[in-house]
Amino acid sequence: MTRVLSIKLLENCLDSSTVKEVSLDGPIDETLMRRLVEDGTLKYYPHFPRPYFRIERARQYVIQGVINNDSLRVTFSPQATAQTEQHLQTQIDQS
Amino acid sequence: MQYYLNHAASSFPKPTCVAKAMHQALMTANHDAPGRGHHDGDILWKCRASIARLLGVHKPEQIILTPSATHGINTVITGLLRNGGHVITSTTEHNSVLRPLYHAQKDFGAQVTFCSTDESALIDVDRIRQSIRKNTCLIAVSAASNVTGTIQPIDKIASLAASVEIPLLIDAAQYIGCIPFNYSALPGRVFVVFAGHKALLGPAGTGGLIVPDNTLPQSLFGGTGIRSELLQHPEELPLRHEAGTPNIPGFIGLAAAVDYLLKAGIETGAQHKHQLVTLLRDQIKDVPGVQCLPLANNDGRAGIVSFTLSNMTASEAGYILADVFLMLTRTGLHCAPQIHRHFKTFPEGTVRISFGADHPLDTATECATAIQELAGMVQS
Repeated sequence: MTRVLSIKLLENCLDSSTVKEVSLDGPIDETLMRRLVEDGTLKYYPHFPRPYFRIERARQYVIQGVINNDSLRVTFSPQATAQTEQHLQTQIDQS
Repeated sequence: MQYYLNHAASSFPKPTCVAKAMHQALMTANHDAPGRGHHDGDILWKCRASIARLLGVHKPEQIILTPSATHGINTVITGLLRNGGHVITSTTEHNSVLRPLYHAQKDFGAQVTFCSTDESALIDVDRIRQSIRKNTCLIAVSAASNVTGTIQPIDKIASLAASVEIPLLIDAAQYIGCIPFNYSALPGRVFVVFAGHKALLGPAGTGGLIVPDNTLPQSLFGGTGIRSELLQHPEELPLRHEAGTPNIPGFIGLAAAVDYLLKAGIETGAQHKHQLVTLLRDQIKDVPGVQCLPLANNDGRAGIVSFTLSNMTASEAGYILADVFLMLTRTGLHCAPQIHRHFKTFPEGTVRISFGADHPLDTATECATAIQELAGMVQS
């Protein structure tokens, strides 16, 4: 079972997107990755030096992650609400 | 193996001598007024003297030690535009120039002309000439773009400014330490700012402002450690523009870094970075889905390559480069929003790779391989 430790807003010289880093209490595995897909689209690149995935849920967010990392990067779309973030956290915590 | 490719933001790692000098400074008591004397034994005077030697400045007192290049820019803009007036700048500038100018517009009623550049972000000297008005009291330009690495014709701009007796402010944050610089060769009344922590290899929190004379109005007042009996802040250089306790360990570190560069030489590093940039650009320029921002005159001495990918944001690409390929780049607007409007890369910006002089040449090929993988993702 994986839990969210913290969700931190990333501020930098970036564009105006809302980008957050979701820190987890353990490494990401393929099971968690596939649970996060829901009705979104998964692109998975297991052949990369470190296996990379990208999950897009239209008008909600894009999740980027690397298998065995203990954090995810989530770019929220302008249409996303506070409930969107809460839903994502619940999804992870229930996995 | 992790690649640090963000030298345009801050160089890393620093030479060992910098860390040693700073450690020693932090462990040594200073009972006097460090940095305030004009004698050779003064610890900060040594820093000024080393910088003066590296940059061809006749008198060390012309070098104002500041916490950053931005601080120096503010000193000049606040000093010269406090009564309004007209300033000419370019659309390639960093926010360190743009924002003080916007404030000068708002607070002092200054008028600002932003000269557009050519397609490679090269400043057109004729456009500056055509923009000069009777009340133009400053020309402010960067010596090298922090987004594209384009090196500006600062000698020609200085000649123009000198010919019409307008002060020139050069933001050399991306130039000094990368490319040999000789202040004395620039004609006219030239102010130059530099960052200590970029290509000069010093620590963060250090920078400098070179002033041509002691006529720039003061904007900083306070303790100086000496001349304490005076009601007014001293007017002589360099105290004229310095107040408060300086970053002594930082400037000791910067002095060590500058001494290191004096021995190593800057030209060698400049040519090496040019090779790295050329190698990388050559390997990615024809990759479908990759768009490199243009580099004027194919001069890669500033060590910067900026690019975008079709169908992938810069932020996303930067994440993959960092977390998958262990390449630490910088993404976004790089604090220079106007140049991104010029290149139509606003508001998402670009991925910027900025090399250090110590990167082996095969780093460029490693970067190219990773970028080709990214391009393959967006093509698939």
